[in-house]
Amino acid sequence: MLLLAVLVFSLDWKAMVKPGAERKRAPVQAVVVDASKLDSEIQRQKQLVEKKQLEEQEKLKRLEQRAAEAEQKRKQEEERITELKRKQEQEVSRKKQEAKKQAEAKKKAEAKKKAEAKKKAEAEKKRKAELAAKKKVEEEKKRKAEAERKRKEEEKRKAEAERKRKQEAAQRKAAEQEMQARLAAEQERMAAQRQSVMQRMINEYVLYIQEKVQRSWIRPPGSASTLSCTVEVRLIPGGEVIDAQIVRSSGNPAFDRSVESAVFKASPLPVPSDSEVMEQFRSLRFEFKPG
Amino acid sequence: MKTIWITLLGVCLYLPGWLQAALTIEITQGVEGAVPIAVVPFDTANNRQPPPQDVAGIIAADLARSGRFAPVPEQNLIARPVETSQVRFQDWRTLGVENLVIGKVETVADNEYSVQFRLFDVLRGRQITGYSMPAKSEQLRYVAHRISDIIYEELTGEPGAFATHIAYVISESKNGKKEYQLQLADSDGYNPKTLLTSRQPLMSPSWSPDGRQLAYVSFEKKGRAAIFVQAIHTGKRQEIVSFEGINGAPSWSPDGRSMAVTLSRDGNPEIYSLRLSDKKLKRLTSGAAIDTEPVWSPDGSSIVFTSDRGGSPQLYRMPAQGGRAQRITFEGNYNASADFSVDGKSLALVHGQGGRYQIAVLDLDSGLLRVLSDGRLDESPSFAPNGSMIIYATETGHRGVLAAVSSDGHFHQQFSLRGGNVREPVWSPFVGRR
Repeated sequence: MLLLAVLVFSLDWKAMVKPGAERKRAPVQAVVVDASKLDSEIQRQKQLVEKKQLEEQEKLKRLEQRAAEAEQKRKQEEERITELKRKQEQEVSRKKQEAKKQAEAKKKAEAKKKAEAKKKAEAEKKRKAELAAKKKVEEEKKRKAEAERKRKEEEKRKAEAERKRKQEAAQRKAAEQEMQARLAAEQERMAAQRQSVMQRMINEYVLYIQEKVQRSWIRPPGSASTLSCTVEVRLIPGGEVIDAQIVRSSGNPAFDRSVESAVFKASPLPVPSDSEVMEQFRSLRFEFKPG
Repeated sequence: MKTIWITLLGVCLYLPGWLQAALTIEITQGVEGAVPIAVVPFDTANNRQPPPQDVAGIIAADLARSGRFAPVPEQNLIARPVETSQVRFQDWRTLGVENLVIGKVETVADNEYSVQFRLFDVLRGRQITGYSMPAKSEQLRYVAHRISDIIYEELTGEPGAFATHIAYVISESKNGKKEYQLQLADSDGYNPKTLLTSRQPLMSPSWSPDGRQLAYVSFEKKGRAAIFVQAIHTGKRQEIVSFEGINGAPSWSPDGRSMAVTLSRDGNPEIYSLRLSDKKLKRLTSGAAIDTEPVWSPDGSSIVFTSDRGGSPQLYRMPAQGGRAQRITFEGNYNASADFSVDGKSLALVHGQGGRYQIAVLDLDSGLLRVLSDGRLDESPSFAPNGSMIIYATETGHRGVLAAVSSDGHFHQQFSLRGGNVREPVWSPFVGRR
């Protein structure tokens, strides 16, 4: 555990070392395997060196050879290490890259997440705002619609009221017209009735007047019975004769005068007190023609 | 424009009810009678001595005699206004009076008066006329008659005939002897003046158309009849004809140039036309019957006379130059003594039936005869020159008196002349008028 932690630390430490420094050290301790390998290698090598120092002489040639071989092998190893290193660096780089990538990804993810969150938040906010706006719009719309509806309703109500009013007015008018027609008919009927009453009254008073004028008429003695004349008389209410004009003379002055005298003498003539009927008596025409 | 006319037409159609001059009332019944008039006694306060004549009284009597007016009796007068301002028309109306006459007589000099009068229309409350006339005391009656004439003419439209005269014959027995007088009087019988006195009968006075002369028959020449013409004012007289037998019934032609007379010089009483300028005679009738009492129609074209050619005395009409005569009276057994009315449309005559002789008027157009008098022996009717009255002689207590009747027969009056037997009155024409 502790080893792993050191390893990790070492690795970390190495990882932290600048490549230049690492390169200077490399010719000394060229065999670098991986950390764990390295550690074990170091152990092994140390044993190996001790062993080899005994064997080295003996095996110098072989060693030589072996050195060559080792060289070659080292070269190969170096190449392999370089390759490995390259691969390792590549790996590191890759890992770094990966880490970075990962970090970046993480960061990115984080950022993305954040952004997303933000975006989301914003979106949410926006959504909310939009929602709010939408809601607002909706509400406005709704309000407007409501207002419109209300307006329309009001309008409709008004129209209805107007229609009703018009209808009522029309009905009232019709009723009024009918009433008026009935009234007119009634008035006509009453007028006719009044007319007939008036006519009766007129006839009656004509008789009274005739009677009074006849009583007042003194025909000139011996005047021919063929004589006749017409006198127009104007009366004022109360029946007083204010003027009498011969409009058609008998040709006999005495006869004419007797006729004028008769109407004046008969004054005041009996006339109706009803002013309307009296109107008919304002101007009278008398035809004097003794039977 | 069209609409307007239609509207106007509509209005016109609607209006006639009161545009047409009102109600027409027929009056068919009326009392035939005299018009009530008030003649207030004329004021005479401004005189040292009261005038000799009651002017208002004379006027009232004239108007009453005409039969056209009924003057209110003096005692019934409700007031005696002298001036217009004193007249209260309503009071007189209440009395039923249609006309009112007021006036006064004032002395302007010795024996000279001024007579003023006013005539009012009571019903209309206004003056109709008014005059101031000078008069000597002896002219007061005449002036009164003139006023009557003015009133009459104003109210009837016909000229009055009050200021005219009547001539008549009056006979009296004096000391056992009969005396005849030709007299002239005012139309009311007052102021008689004798134109001629004779012991022998005087008959048939006849006025010249100008009213200046009278023709008459006188028997003064030993009982022989002669026709004379006498001027009224000068009294100058002239014998016109005096043939053997009857010389009677003179009648002046309307132009005054001829005279129709009855003569029996040819044996039978016939009617002749006598030209006054040369006294040339023309016989107009012939036959065995008595033809007499000729009168000229006012237009001078025909002569009406009495003849018994039909068995009884009846009236006939013939052309003024003579010729076929036509009988014009058929009622009764006696119709004689004709006198033409001024308009020539009617004749006054003596109508006898059932022993009574009365004055009647014959309407020439219709032939209708209307009896006006109610005497037993009425004779000699004579129209007033305005045709309103007829004067005639009637008999009261065996004495002949003058009477007058309005030509409608409504008003009768006898003239109260003193003494004598009055016969044959003739009314003068208008003098100085026409």
